Amino acid sequence: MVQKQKITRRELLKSSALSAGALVLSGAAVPLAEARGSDTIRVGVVGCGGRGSGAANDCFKSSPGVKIVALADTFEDRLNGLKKQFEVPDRRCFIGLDAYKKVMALDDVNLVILATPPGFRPVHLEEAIKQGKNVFMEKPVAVCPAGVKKVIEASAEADRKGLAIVAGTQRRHQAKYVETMKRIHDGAIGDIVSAQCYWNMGELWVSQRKPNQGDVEWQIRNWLYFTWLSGDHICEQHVHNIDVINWAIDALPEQVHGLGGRQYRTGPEHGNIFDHFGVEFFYPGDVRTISTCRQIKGTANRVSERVVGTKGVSDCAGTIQGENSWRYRGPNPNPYEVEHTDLIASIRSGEPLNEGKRIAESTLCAIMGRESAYSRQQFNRSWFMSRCTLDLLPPDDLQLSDSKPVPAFAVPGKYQLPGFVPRQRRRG
Amino acid sequence: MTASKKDKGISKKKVAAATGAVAVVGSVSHVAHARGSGKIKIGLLGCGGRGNGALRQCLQADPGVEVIALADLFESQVRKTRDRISRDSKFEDQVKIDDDHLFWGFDCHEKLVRCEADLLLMATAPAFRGRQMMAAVNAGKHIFTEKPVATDVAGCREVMKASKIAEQKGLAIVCGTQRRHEFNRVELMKRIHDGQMGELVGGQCYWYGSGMSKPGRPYLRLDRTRSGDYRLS
Repeated sequence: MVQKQKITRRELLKSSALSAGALVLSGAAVPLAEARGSDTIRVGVVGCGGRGSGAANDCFKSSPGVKIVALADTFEDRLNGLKKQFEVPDRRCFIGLDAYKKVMALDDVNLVILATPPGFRPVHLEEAIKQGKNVFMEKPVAVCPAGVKKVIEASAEADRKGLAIVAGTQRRHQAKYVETMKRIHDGAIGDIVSAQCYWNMGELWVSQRKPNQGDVEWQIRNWLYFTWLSGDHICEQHVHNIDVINWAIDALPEQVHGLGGRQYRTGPEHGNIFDHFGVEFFYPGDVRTISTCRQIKGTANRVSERVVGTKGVSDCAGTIQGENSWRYRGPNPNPYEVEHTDLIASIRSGEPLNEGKRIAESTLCAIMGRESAYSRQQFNRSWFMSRCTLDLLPPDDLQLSDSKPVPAFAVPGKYQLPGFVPRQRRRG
Repeated sequence: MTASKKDKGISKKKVAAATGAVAVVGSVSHVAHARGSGKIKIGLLGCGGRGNGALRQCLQADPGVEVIALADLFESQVRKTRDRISRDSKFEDQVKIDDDHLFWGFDCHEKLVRCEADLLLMATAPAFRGRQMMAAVNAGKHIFTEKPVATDVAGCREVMKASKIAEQKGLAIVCGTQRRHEFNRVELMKRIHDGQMGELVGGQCYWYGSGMSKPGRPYLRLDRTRSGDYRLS
C-alpha cells in the first residue's frame, strides 16, 4: 500500500512544475509542491515514544490524506507501537541515534514529526530543512543558546525554501486562547502591566537504570532529568506558559532573574535538574512577569496564565474581566489535532506556517530562566544570545556506548554560567 | 492592625526625629509611666547584634532615655553589652545599669518585666516574642519589638492578644519595620493612598542577598523553629 502510493521523484517534479511554478523557481519546492491540493501528506516520525506516538495519531486524525510512512527511534522497543499501528514495513523503520537521517533521506516523506528529547531537536530540524521536509516539532526546541541559534537559522532557511514548521505549543491553535488573544491585542484589557504564569504540579515518570545500560542509553530513556536532553522542566514543560505570556504581551523579555532549587527530587535517577523555579521576566516598558513551575509530589496543582492590564484581567484562555468582560462560549476542538490541521492546511494551500523562530524564542526565555536560577544572576537576553557560550548540543558522533557522566546539579552562587563575568566591585 | 494604627498617629515632626524607636518616645500620649519625670527608662531584652543596635538607636533618639536593665539568655552577652555601652562616651549620662538589673536565663524576660523600666526593647530570636510581649504588656511596659514577631500562627495570635491588651492599657508598641518610618516611603505611601497611581493592579517585592550564616553560630537563623526561616528573620 505504501509502495503503491509512493510518488516518484519524476512525478513530483512534474506536478510541481504544473501546479506550483512560482515555488519551483526557488529550487527547493519539491516536497511542498507534492503536498499541495489533495496530495497525500507522507509522514516520517522521528522519536516514537509517548509524545511522538501522540503526535503521529493527532496528525493522522487531523486531516484527510495523511499517511505515516516511516519511523525512526533510538530504540527498537520504542518504535514498535507505531510500527504495528500504521503497518510500517521494516525497511522504513530505522533504529539508532542516526535513524533520523535515514527517514529524512526518503524522497517520498514530505512531513516529519520531531518528537525526540529536545536536546536533539536543533540538529534534527536542521537536517529536516536541509532535506526539504515540512516539520511538526514538539516543544521545547532547544536546551541551550547554541541550539536556539541553530533553530532560528533553520527556520529562516525553511522560509527561503517555502517549508512549513509548526511547533507543539498547542495553545497557539486552541480556539479559546486564539479568541482571547485577539481581544487582548485589540485592547480589551488596556495596556498590559504585569503577568503571571504557572506550571506547578506533582511529578512525572522516571525510568530507572537497568543493569548493563550505558550512560547515554539510560539518560536518553530517562531524558526528563538531564539538562542536556530536556532543558530542565522549566524548559521542557513550562515553556507552554511562558510562550502564552510572550504571545499576550507580543514581545520578548529583555531581562531575567530566577530562583530555583532541587529539594525533593534528589536521587541519582533525577539526574541534574531542579524541581522548582520562580522566575521574573522583565518585558519592555518594565512590565514584570512572574513565572513559577514545580514538579513535587503531594503539592497543589496550578497550570495557567494571567495577564493584568490597565482595563482588566484575563486568563488568556477564554475569560476577560474588567471594562470589557467577556467569556468564550464557542467550540473548543482538540488543540493537539488542530495544530496539525493548521499545519497541513498551510502546506496544501501553499502558504506554509512557520513557527520556528517564535518557538525558538520562547524556548530561549525558558532557558534564560533556568540559567538565571542555576547561577542566581540577572542578565539580558541580548547578552545571553550573543555572549553566553553555553553549548549542550550532542556531538555528531554520539554513541550509545559512550561514557557520559551526569554533570553535578547547579549550586547557586557556585554554578558558573559560561561566559558570565560578575561585575567587579570598585575598590578604594 | 494595631501597629499600623499607631504608626499613623505619629506626628510627622516626631518621625523626623529618628528611626522606629523614637516613635515610641514621640507618642507621648501613650507614655503613661514616663509622664511627669520626662525620663524614659528602658530595658533591653536580647543582647545580640540587633539588640545592641536597637539600644544605641533608642538612646540616640532622645536624651531623656536611660537604659537601666539588660536581659539575655546568656550571662556573657549581658555583661559584654553593659561593658560596651558603658564605655561609649556618647551615652555617658544615659547608662544606669545596676548589677541587680542584669538578667539571664530562659526566664530573663520575667525578671526584666518586674523592674522599673517604662519601655522594653525586644530583640531575642523571633520564636520567643509572643510570650515575652505578653509578659511585658501584663506588667504595663511599652514595647519596641524587632520583626518578625512570631514563627507560627500560635505566636501571631499571642502577639495580637498582647497588642489588644496594650491598647486597652494605653501602652505603645512599635515594631522594627523601619520602612514604615522612612521619610521617602511615608511620603510615597501617602500619595499612593491618595490615588496618584490609580488602582493598584499588582506589585513585586524582593530580598535577594548573599548568605548570612556565621560558622559556629547557626542556632538562630538556620533553625526555622526559632527564626521563622530567613524569609522572616
